[in-house]
Amino acid sequence: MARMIGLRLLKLVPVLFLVSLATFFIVDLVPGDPARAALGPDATEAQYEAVRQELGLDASLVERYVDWIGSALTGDLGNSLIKPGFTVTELISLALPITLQLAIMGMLIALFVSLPLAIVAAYREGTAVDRFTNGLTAAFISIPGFLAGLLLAYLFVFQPEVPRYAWLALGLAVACGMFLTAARRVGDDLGRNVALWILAGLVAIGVTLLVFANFPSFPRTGFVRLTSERGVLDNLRSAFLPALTISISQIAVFTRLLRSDLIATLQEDFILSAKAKGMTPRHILWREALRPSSFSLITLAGVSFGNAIGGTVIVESIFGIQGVGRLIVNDGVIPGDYPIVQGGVLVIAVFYVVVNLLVDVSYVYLDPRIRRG
Amino acid sequence: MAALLLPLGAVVLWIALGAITDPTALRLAVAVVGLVAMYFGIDAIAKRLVSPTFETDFWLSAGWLVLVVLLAVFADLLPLAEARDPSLTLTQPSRERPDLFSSHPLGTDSQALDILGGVIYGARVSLQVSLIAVTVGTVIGGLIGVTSGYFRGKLDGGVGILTDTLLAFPPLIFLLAVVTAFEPGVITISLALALLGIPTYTRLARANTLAFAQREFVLAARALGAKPGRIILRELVPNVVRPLLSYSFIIVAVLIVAEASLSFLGVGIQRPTPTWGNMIAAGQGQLETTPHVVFVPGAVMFITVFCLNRVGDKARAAWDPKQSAL
Amino acid sequence: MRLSRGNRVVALLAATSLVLAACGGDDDTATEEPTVDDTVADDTDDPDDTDDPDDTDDPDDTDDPDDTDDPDDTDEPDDTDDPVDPVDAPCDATIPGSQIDYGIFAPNAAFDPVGSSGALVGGTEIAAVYDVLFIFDPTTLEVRPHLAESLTADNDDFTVWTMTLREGITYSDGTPLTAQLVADNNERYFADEGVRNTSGGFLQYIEETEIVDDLTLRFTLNTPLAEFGLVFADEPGMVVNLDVIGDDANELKTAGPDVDAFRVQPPDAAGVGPYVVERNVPGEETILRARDDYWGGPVCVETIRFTWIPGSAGTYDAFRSGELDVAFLRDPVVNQQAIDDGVQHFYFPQDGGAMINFNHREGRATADPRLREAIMLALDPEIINDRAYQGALNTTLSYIGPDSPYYSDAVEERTLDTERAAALVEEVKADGWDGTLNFVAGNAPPGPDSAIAIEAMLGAVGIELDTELMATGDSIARLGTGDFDIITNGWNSGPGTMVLSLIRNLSSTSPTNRMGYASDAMDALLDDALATPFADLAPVLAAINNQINEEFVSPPFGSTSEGVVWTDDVSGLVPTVSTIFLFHDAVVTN
Repeated sequence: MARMIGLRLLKLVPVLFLVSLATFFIVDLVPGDPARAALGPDATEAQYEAVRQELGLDASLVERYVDWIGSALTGDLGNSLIKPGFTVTELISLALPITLQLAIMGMLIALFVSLPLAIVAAYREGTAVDRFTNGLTAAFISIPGFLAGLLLAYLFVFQPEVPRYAWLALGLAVACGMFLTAARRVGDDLGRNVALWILAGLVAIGVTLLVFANFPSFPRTGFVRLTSERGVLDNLRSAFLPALTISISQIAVFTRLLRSDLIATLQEDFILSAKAKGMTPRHILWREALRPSSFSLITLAGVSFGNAIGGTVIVESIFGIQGVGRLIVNDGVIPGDYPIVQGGVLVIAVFYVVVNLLVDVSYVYLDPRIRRG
Repeated sequence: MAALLLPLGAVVLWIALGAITDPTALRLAVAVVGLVAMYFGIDAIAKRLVSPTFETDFWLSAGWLVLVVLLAVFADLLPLAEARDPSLTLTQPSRERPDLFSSHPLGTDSQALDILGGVIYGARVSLQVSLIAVTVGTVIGGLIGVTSGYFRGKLDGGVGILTDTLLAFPPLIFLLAVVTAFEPGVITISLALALLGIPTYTRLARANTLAFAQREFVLAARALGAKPGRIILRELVPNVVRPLLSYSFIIVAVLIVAEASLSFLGVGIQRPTPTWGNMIAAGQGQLETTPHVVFVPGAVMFITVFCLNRVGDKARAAWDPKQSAL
Repeated sequence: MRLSRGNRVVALLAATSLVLAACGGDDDTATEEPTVDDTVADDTDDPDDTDDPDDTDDPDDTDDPDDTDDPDDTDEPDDTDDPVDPVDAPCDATIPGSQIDYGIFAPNAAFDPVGSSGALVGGTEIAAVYDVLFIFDPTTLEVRPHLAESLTADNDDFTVWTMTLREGITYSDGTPLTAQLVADNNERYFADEGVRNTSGGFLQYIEETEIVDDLTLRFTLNTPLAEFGLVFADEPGMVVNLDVIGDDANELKTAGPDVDAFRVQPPDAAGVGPYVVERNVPGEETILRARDDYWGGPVCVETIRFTWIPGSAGTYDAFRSGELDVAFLRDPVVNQQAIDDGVQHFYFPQDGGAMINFNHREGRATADPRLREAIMLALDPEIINDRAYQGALNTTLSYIGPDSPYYSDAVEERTLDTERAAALVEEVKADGWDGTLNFVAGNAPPGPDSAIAIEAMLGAVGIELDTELMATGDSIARLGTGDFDIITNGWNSGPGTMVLSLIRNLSSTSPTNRMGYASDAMDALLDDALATPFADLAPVLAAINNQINEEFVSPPFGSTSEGVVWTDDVSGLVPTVSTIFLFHDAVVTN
């Protein structure tokens, strides 16, 4: 076990080395003169030369790489060419929390939506609910991120009545479903459940109406930091649409995986025997069936999280948020501030690799079959 | 009875596209209702006429893809309003809303270019780019994967590290880095996308090769003294190519989205040459006032990707032995 | 009817200019008759703007010029013995918890006036920290002293000027604001081999600076400069306490540790402005805190928070959602929308804000005047407006637009004639030109749409464009290297920066003349413009405008505007040159 993890870590070293090498040399491919980026167009040739020297651009490639990676290992990614007095590390540490928050919120939304969806679909496999879920996930998986973002921006920002009434309809439908369940349970053996379902339906109606009455408005662009004095609510408001955009494709992936996983689990002997023992469906689903599936969900969530971190460029661009993706594109690639490009790409790539490693490791750890093999 | 939904849905769709002019959200909702109704209508008819197990969604998807390909191929022969050269549309109205019964059925954009035409020519670019990328990716990635899967050992280890490295970059960041270094055009974008696809194909081909390399016919060929090159080309490649191709639909879908994302970020193929991505990007600044400039090409792209995924799922289930085992 | 805020700002200016009228640039500060200019109402649609008796919370009311609260009125001659005692402050002390959230156009690169260029990059923030020697009034076109006491021309041809500073102004470390310090600050603009930023460009006309005494400087100019005071309303008028930077003060682009720290967060003693830097993260936020011993009396608003939301549309969205109290806007579509929404605003009209530039250099196809004429005949501003600006651009066929304070009947428009354009193109092609021009344009909206529209119109008369879209920074670089046939580049002539921007772009001796254009007739007109006070400038500028048409220098297609919008809670912003707004009189309720 430990040996296995050690081996994976060992394999990671050359990958990280190549990643850093590629990141570093990407810059040599990108056209443009760093000195010009730093000084603007009006400086003299002598000044450009001085800056090139100061940046060490005259040194050989190998020297420059060794120098850069040496500093990078100590957390120093160099200085921004264009933002004076700012180190790339500082800039990234300002942008990274935003990107992380969006990715985490997106994942939480996805889990929140896909868990009930997958459970219902799996439990009622083959019914209309299941087919609806299938169609929905197929649609969600096919929406390009930027299209989803623009659609959400259009609906929530410019046509706020549409999501507001959609929310009302959804909430009331859920409540109706709960009341129907209650009605069907009347005369069942467990009278307590009827009361519970009615209560749940009432709560659902209450929450629905409360949100409907106070439906928040969402900003088209901009981001309020979690630590900002403007407070958590403003932060959540500004993060909601981007996070929802990120979550769309994840909802599809999570739901699909969880549904097929659950269907397989529900066929297993221990479930069948639990059913035979007369356990309630709720108990079987939540206590027995979900547990084995949660492992693969965790790993999938990890992979998605890595993807989300790398994919926030689009979301940040649509919603005008200064996360790492935008930092790389708008402050790095476009003005030619190459230390930002190098640092940003390296940080994201390392993040990506490490998250994937953790996923692999957790998979090994959680899934006894692989551990044995 | 359900068959009645087909004409009913058609009428609803017709109302959405022709009779209602505002607001866009209402038009979209009515159009979706119409489409869903039509789908169930067709589904009911097909199940009765053809067979009760008829997969309506699959055949509709395949039909849409055929339609898109045909339109893209024969675009020049269609009586479309000008969609590519704004110097010919100087006197045309800009930002016309979609109206099925006008000369611009899907409206015009800010340059008064026809959106229907743009969507069709855009399909051409999307298909060109993704097909070139998939072809290059399959050939190069496939050969590398088969070779390293067959020889194993150090070569395999090296290839593994290289593919891991390429896959360590988030795809979009990787593309951005590559594309900023070159002038964007059909060929460069295609090659960048191919580069993105190569590690995936390498892994797929390698995994399949590992499965086939232990099979009798390969062992037999080896025992008969066949050279590795011959074994790879004659025995392994023909067997690996089918599961590899089964992924093509899905990868084409991914690449269409990737190309559009690049165009959307402004580093892809530039306007006025229409692509789905740059049409959407051009409209996003005026999302509030003229949403159709974004959502018409968006809808076409979404439907196409949806259909590719649907067809791809079926292709994979049919052709990929590992897939059916999973 | 309540005074609109736009009018209040204007009213404040009018009030102060009543008192200070002529200090700015006339040879005799006493002779000019102070008048409330009728341009007061220019900015808004509201004609009756001046008297509103119940508008008691407004300290800037124009009803009674004597009652003005502005600290600057202290420079009336009889008040000079007590220069830092405000008569009627809008508040008695800084109001705790009061804050203005200000949406900027672009992150401030450095808290150093030398690196700034107007309000687009840091000007407003920097001015709040260092204060300015003079204030330019964009509506009356007058320059009045602020931190300085006076500036007078010593001769009739505006070549010798005497500047007197206020007595008793000191930095918080005890360093006094002296003539020597002003002169040393000016030197910094030359440390980098050539003057770069907007008004700093005027400094090249200084031949000699003489320190007469601690508070008096005498400038000898090599060119008659009728509005010399304007220079010190802009960056050169923001005087840095060089002691705080240390030895690196003159090495602007050298990244010494002191200079770097100073540029990110200058110490409190670096400036004498109403605010000090509390926190500065470029691109994130800049927080300024009121100085409690500001020379001009109490600063009412405790903190100003500058944030950057990319793009005017995003900035305005944030303004509408209540995130910002003041928003800097510079997008014709958005600026028009704010007007339509009835939001209070103060915009500076920018002539030549939307235009393309020709490359006049030998060897370029556009060196051929027939081709330039053809393009000017073919470019219809209305089509660009429809295609790229959603109809919000203030289209013009002349450089000096109808909204310009310098507009007059003498301004001629260029003509549009596609047939003649096509004929000219044929002619040039017959002489061996291949029909293709290189075109460099910006890749941020509305750049791409505008480029496509231009491509379309020129395509229609037979000119093929090879268009390259790039980030603004890159296209400026291309402009600098002269590697283009046509390029989108606005000269952006605001009310104050008009003459300098024309000189920068058109003078044959200007290092920033990017077009390679040189004309004796134009040079003579530009010299004339420099020697003419703003009040008499209109005929000279009309002549320059007509010369642009005659020589097919470059076609403008619209005037733009830049400026701020603000909420009802805010008042007392003072506009000055380069679209900078000053905060020493700002008030925010709630």
